[in-house]
Formats: sequence, C-alpha cells, structure tokens
Amino acid sequence: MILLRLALRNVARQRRRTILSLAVLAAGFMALALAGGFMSQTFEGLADGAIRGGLGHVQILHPKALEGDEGQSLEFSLPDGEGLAARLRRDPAVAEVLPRIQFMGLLSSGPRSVAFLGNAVDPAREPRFMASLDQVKDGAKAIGGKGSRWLSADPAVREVILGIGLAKGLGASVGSGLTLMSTTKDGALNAVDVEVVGLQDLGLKELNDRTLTVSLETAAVLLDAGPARSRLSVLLKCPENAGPEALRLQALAKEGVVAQPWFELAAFYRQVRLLYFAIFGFMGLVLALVVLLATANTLLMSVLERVREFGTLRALGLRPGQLVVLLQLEGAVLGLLGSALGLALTLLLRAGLNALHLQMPAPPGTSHGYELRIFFVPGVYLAAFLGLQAVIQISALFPGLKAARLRITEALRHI
Amino acid sequence: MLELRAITRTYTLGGERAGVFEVSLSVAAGTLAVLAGPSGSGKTTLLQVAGLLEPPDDGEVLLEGVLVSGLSEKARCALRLEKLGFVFQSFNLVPVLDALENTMLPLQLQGFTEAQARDRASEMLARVGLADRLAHRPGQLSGGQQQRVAIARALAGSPRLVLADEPTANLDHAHGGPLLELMAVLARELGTAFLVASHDPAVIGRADAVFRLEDGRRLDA
Repeated sequence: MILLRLALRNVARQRRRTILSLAVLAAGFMALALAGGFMSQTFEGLADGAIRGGLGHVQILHPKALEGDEGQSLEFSLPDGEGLAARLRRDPAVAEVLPRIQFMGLLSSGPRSVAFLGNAVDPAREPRFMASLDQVKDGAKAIGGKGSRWLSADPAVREVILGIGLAKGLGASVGSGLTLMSTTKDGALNAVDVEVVGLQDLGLKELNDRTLTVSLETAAVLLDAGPARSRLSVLLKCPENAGPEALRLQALAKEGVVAQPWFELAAFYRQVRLLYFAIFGFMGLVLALVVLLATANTLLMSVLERVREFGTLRALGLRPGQLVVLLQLEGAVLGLLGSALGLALTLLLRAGLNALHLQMPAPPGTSHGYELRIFFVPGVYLAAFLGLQAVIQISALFPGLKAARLRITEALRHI
Repeated sequence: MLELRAITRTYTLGGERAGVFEVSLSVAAGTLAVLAGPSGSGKTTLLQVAGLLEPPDDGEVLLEGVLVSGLSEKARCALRLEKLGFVFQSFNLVPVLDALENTMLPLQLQGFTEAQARDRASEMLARVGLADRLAHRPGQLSGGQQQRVAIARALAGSPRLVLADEPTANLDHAHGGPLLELMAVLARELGTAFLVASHDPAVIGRADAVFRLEDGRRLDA
C-alpha cells in the first residue's frame, strides 16, 4: 500500500515529464485502437463481400473442383446438386442453400463474340441472401444499364445479366438480344438465345469484363445439366460456426463432396488480412519502441533524480526487490493513466471520423470506394492496453534494477 | 545494546587509505553517545558499519549481544527495519509524503496496518512537538521541523538503536539545542540508544558517553 502511494505521488511529482509520457502513451493507444477499428471494418467488408458475393458461409463442391480449372463446364460437378440442396435445406443449422452452376463459353451479339465466365443462380432465392440486387443497381448507373432489373423467376424465360465491361465489349445494353454458346457436359456444342435484362457491377474490373449471370434453368438447358450443379453455397443461421459446420455438413452430404468454410476459399480476403497484419504489426512494433523509449527515459530520469531518496528508503529497511516493485508500480500507474487518456481520445476521434462520413478511394483492382467507419473493437482496445502495459513494465525494469543496485552509502551521499 | 569490536573499514581517498581502524566501543540502552572528531576522522564510516549499511573489513558488530556483522543483505534489511533508526544531516525525508506519511513509512514497511501506523506516527510527531504539522510536506517545514520529523520517523518503529549523522549540522543553534535535548529525553524515556556523530561541542556537552576519533582511531581508548 505504501509503495502504491509512493508510486502515485512520484508519478505526480514531475508533472511536465509525466504529461509528456502520458501523451506518448495515449497517442500509442489511439493509433493502435483506431488502426484496429479500421482493420476490423476492412475485414468485415471483405468477409461480407466474399460471403454475399457468392461463397455463402460454406461451399459444397466436388473434391476435384478445388484442385484446378475444369476442362469443360460441369466436369467436376455435384451430379445431383439439386437433390443435395433440398436435403441440406432441411438441416436446422442451415438458413438457405443456393445451388450454382459455373460455366464458360462464348457470348455473341451477331458480328461480335466474347468469351465469358457464367454464373447460373436461382433467381428467386439468390437476391434474398446475396449481393446480386446491389450489383444490378450499381450496374444500372453504367452506360446501357438503364432499366436494369433482376432475372425473372419464370423457368421458361431466358434472360441474362452482363458485367458492365462485358456489355461494353459487345456493345450490348438492356434489351439487347444475345446468343450464349457453350458445350454440354457431354461435349456437344449448344446455344441459347437470351435477352439482356440488366447490367451488374461486381466491383472488380476483371470480373466486370468477363462475367454474366443467368438462371439455373437457362444454364441447365444450355449445358444439358439436369440436376447437376457446380457447387452449393450454404448460408448458416449462425455464420460464426462456419468452420465446424463445414465439417458436419461434409459428413451429412456423404462421400464424393467436400464442404469448405468461406474463409478457406476467399483467397483475396486471406491475402489482404495477412497484408494488414504485417503492416499493422510493423506499425505496432514501431509504436512499442517509441513507448518503450519514452517511458524508460521518464522512469530513468526519475530514478536519477531520486538517488538519495532511494538510499534513504534502503537505509530504512526497504529491500532491493521492493524498489523494483516501486518502479513497476510507477510504470503501471503511467500505463493506466495513459491508456485511459488514449481510450477517451480514441472514442472522441472515432465518433468524429464516423460522423464525417468520409469516402475512401476504391482499393486497387476494385471499382468501388467505401465510407470510412472505424469500428469499436473491445478486443483490440484490450490488446492495445495490455500490449502497451507490457512494454511499460519492461521499460520500468531497467530503472528499477538500477535503483535496486545502488549502494546505500553512496546513494545517501548523492547530491 | 550496541557493541563494536575492533572494527576496521577502509577506503581509498585521494590515493591514501582512510576509514576506521580497530575501533571498539559500546553504547548502552537509553543513553545518548556521541562519536566526536573532526571531519575525516571516520565518524560517518563507523556509523555506517554500526547501522549495517556497510560491512566491516574486519571486526564484529553486536546488537543486543547478537553478532550481526556477517548477516546477509536480506537479514540486514530486516534488522535495519526493526531494530535501527536513522537520522541524517540533510533530514532525507521523502518529499512527496507529508510529515505523518513520512513517519508512517517504516511502520508500514514493518507491516503495521494503515490505522495502526497512523496512530503511532501521530503519537511520535506529537512527542517531537509537531502535532499541528502532520499534513505538511517537507518543503513546507523549517529545517528544525524537518529534523524533528526525521527523529519521529527514526523512533516510530520502536528501534533499539538510533544512528544520527551530524543531525544538527544544518540547523542553527536555536534549533540544534532543543533537538539534542529532545533526543536525550527520548533516549531515556524510550530506552533507545542513540549514537550520534558530531563535531559540534554543544552536542558533545549533552552526551552520556563520548567516543573521540581522529584519523580513524579512538583517541580515548
């Protein structure tokens, strides 16, 4: 208790130096907490983009589909994908199962033909869970996109939604009539006439230049697919359980399929996550070094100014280890005050930044900017506090040991 | 109470060997003994050895008949805390603590509760005439008052021996005289032995026993 009292008083003793140390600590906390909040927003955005972009929470597919590209459409498919989807929809943990066919072929407008990557989806179920309608709305802003709408749920209607780059390459717009050409799963050439009912902006130029979306029935006719599907996107009632649920669903679906949680398949998400961790890890190291030097300097100066006081305390019977504890307590007090100040400033700055609705530029390779939102992430705040506190306690160790090693009689003579 | 047997403690100063050489003395409980001698005679060195702040090169220190000079650092810390008190020339109060807290310090280090330490420290401060200065920090007290706080702090833990190094050197005669009187009274009342290093004739005049040192040796042995 007496050591804590001494620590509190000593921290308050050199106010200017303490304020400077607190400012460094608060800035360090703020930088880590805001960066963590920004990272969290980015990760959530990327995760949401991956899940709602088509992956769902769990993907069920043919094992070979994971290994490489198909030589032709539906080469590695689920032979009774529709039946499996119907069975999985009855599972209590499953919110929805969206069968998909991924195929490739040529899209012709008469004089011009362009290779495409096709996505066939269930027009009725898809927009309820995926970002399809948002993409169509964004596509509607593009040239030729006026009047864009989602695909009809009527199985007899043959419609297509084009990526904005693909439409531009073909000179097609909403209302254009086009011909889809591909090979059936048996290798025969087939074609289907479709009407463009909308354009879609998928956010990535490479996708916009190649991708089109049709109904499952249209693709099934084109590919003679029957009930075969490329993959099933499963949406869970508890998305955070994607990992364990994937294992369970794989067992449920029996042999011949694999079930993968979305994060295993979202390569871009994982790469960005790694990159951010590397960047912010480095930033954290630099911050830790700054905090270490600032607090070590403060505490060391404090020790050098109190040599005679330490000599007196030692003469009175204070053990060397208690002097180390005293300096650790002073560090702890500094850390607590600095983090508290940092927390207050972080919350203020976060509220201010979020209120400004700042628009961030589109990340490389994407066509959409996004609004800056700094998330409140208690785990990051706790980690920032604990990390800084650990750095401070380490920085207090050397001054503490220096004080503990003082020779009492020399310390008492110190002026 | 305190017995020093043939204590030798040397150090090199300006290329010459200085310190104390084979000094023996004993101080009885309840007495005020003075180590007298000019600067450099070895008074402070002998106090440091007697106060277990430095080990002797040779000789023995006995406290209440027990040999203590060969103890470990940890044991010496405990002995200083429980059986010794110190009064320094420059008072050496902790500047961030007030008079009461300074006096409570050794008690709390000994394990007294806050309330027990507060009561005992208040009582000691009252005995040295500072009952109305409890909440004053050292910077708000005169030199004489600070030294009284130092005496209260030294006596708060009921030590058997108080070692005082030139306690009146930074005080004028008006403050130094009463302080010595106070130490002599407290020594008798509490049964605590005081060993004071001083070259002040006024201090020597009030002592129950005087040990004269010169060039590190006792003159009156």
